[in-house]
Amino acid sequence: MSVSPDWRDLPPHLIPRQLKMLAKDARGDARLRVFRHGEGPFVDGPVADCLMLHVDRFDHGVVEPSGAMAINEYQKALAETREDWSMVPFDYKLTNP
Amino acid sequence: MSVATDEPTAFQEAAALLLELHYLMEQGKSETDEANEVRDRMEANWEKLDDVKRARIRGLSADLYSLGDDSPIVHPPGSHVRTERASKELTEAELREDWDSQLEFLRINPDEVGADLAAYIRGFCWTKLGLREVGMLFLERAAGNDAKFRPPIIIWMIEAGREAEAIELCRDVFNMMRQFDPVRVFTIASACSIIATRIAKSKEEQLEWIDRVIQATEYGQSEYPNWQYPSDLDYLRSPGARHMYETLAWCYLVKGDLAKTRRACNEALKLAPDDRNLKMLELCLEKQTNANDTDPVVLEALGDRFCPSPSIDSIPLVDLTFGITK
Repeated sequence: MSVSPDWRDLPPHLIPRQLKMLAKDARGDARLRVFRHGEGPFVDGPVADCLMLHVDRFDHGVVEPSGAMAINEYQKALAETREDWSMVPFDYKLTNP
Repeated sequence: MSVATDEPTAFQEAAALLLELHYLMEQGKSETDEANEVRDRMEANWEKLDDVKRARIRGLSADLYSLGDDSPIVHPPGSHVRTERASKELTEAELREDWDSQLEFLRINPDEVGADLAAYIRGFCWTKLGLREVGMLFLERAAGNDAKFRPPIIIWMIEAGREAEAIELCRDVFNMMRQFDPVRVFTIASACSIIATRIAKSKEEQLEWIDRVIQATEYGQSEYPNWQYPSDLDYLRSPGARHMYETLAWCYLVKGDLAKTRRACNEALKLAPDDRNLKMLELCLEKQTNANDTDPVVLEALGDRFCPSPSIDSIPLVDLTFGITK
């Protein structure tokens, strides 16, 4: 699962367009929401049980299995982090969606 | 081994997709399956771009908003730079052909550059960065609002295959050339020469456009000494002027004016003494002179040599750092 250190580092088509006054390149669907996980630095390391963050670029990383596992186990591990994610509290109605 | 193809690069593809999305958003279709299908293709394309190209696409996304009413980038109206700093930074970046820096300056400091000039600079820079269609969007916006941006657009139109529009626009700007500064008048002459050699359908048409080349260039030259150029660059001593003199020389030769051909050829040779095209021009001139032949040079024989500066690279942007309006 792809992640970024800052919502502004997301590709333009993934930044909700109504945030364009905050990120001038925003071109995403207005129904998109931005979620954040944890407060730690954006560096390689464990994210949760069985999950690792692997940073492959300054603006991009992948939450990946920490070892070999079946795809359904990986999906289950990701699903178990659900409660750890919080929606970034923008005013998503800055402009008319 | 490298192979040249007409396939668009990943960057051009990314720009085309962004433009497609921009148009859909302009039509109020941002939250539609159609727009999200474009976004999906943008996602796949994004991985093919390096950091520099990604930064450019981000910048382009922001720049395209500047064409609309609800832009996060707001320039004051007009066609002028409004601060010494903007004039200096834009000119310096242009001279080192740093298109990214010019574009970024406009995004960060929109209040320092008038909207029409900003659109022109954006059009110029995006064209230089390989995005002709995108560039034309901005250039046409600028030209629609301020006539002084029209001359250079003719050449871009020709390059884009929009010949009929280019001819119409060229006729218009030729008729109003006395409103423009000399460098723009030279640009009109250059456009006329391209039309004469590449587009004109008959010998009569060619001669008509050659007359315009001569008239525009002579007028530009007559006005140039009185013109306060806003930088240290002397256009008539710059490499670009060599093309102007060479084109003029060929035009005089076609018209049979050998004395003027010689003068223009000599001016070109001062700037490029070893240029092969100029040597060929000299040979033609010599042949005409020795033969004492009063028949003008056959147009068809000139071929592509006649128009040595058809490229957008010959258009200077530096002339756009106009006087500062505070």
